[in-house]
Amino acid sequence: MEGPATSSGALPPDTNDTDDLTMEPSDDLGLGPEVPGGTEHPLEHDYDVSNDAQLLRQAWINESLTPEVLMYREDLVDRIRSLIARQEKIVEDYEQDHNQALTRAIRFAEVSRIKFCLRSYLRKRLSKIEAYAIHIYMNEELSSKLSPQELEFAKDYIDAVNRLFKDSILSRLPKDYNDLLHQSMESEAPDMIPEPSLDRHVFVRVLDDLGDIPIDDQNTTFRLQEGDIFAIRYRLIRDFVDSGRVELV
Amino acid sequence: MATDFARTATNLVKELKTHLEANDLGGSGSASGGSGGAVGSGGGVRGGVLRDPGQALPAYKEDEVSKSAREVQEHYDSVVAILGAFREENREWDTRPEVASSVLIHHQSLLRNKRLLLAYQNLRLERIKAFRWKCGRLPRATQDKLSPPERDFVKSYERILNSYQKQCRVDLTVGFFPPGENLLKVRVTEDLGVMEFDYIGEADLQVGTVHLLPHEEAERLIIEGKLEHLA
Repeated sequence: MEGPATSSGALPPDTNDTDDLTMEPSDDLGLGPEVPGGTEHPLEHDYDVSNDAQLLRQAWINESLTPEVLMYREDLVDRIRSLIARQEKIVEDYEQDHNQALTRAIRFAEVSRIKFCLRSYLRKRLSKIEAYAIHIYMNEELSSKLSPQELEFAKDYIDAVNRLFKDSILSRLPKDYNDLLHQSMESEAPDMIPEPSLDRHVFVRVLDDLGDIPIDDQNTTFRLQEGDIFAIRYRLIRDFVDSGRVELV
Repeated sequence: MATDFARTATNLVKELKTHLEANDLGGSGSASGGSGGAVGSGGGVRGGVLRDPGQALPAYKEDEVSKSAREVQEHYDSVVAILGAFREENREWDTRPEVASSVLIHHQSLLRNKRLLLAYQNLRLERIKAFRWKCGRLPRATQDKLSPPERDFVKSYERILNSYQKQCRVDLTVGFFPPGENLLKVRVTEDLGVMEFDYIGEADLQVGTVHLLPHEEAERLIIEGKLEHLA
């Protein structure tokens, strides 16, 4: 795995001029006990590391598989960020320590994976936000699920797309027909806003006894018990995803 | 005018279909239609030309679009004329079903054209964004194929994306592939001199040399075409 054998071998040893090994000030997030001078007992972190990484992984899976955008996991993302910073610092600090080469490689792999996961999570959200920007923006409940940055992104994106459609197509259409959201003035409610299809089927694992849930208008109910795995219409379990009572698989 | 409508609308549909085929978004069939690689200047660019990845985003069909828009205008004028004449007659709709249906047909044709135009633009939009994500920026060949409003859009999209990334302190344009190993084996295809990397430190990237580089930074350079990934 380590490849100093090739031309781009390890850095020629030069003195590490940063003697300061204290961690980033990141403990305002209620992350459990911070170990001062972390490189001495780095393993103390590992429980939190794997736990948050696991949570992020599930958030990412959920985000990838649901048709609509989910609640932004702000606290989790913040924790992951400081975690990444800490791990990267450790990797850096171990650079000269050849006894730690293996641990360093493992940590580097771990932090790379977490970074991938975080990026992919944010990208996934952005792509959904782009697809349903107007729908989300016009609905208060949905826009509350975005981070402030995402909300701004959505707003600017809508502006840009509006301008594009207006300049290239709509400005050439006669009035009464030149609206992006209405097919024509005949339709009173906007009828050209793409919405996610909430009736798509998803695979979920039930994490909590949810009792009987109604599945149609005829009072038919369906029992969801802990540990069950179903292919089910997203709409029916929608509310349980953000509360973490089901997870997608 | 009815035939005229049929022709332009069909051309647009064709256009969309070619679009889909060109971008491998569906519809692999009917490729045999391009046996001679025939390039119709008006509508159906089909067959061989589109297999060339440089052509993946066809040039914006300004002519087609303005033709359809003109047609929309004609429909609109007809609707207005018919409605005007009808009001002067001052009769109930029930008594003149033929008038009602002709209005309806014009109206629906208009909506159909509008939808097709918007769908065309939307497909291009998605494609442009895909290029942006995949290549980091639009390749020059693609930039030439954009219409002026599309160029504006690319600029503002770039700006929006950058401001998001800045605020979130995250670079989303790398890390598309889950890292399997810490270091990627790459061959240098463009002289980059000595570069500083995370994890391994400096590396002298001369053309033709093989290196093991950290995943994330290697990926960025691979996307830019400066390195070649060796399996």
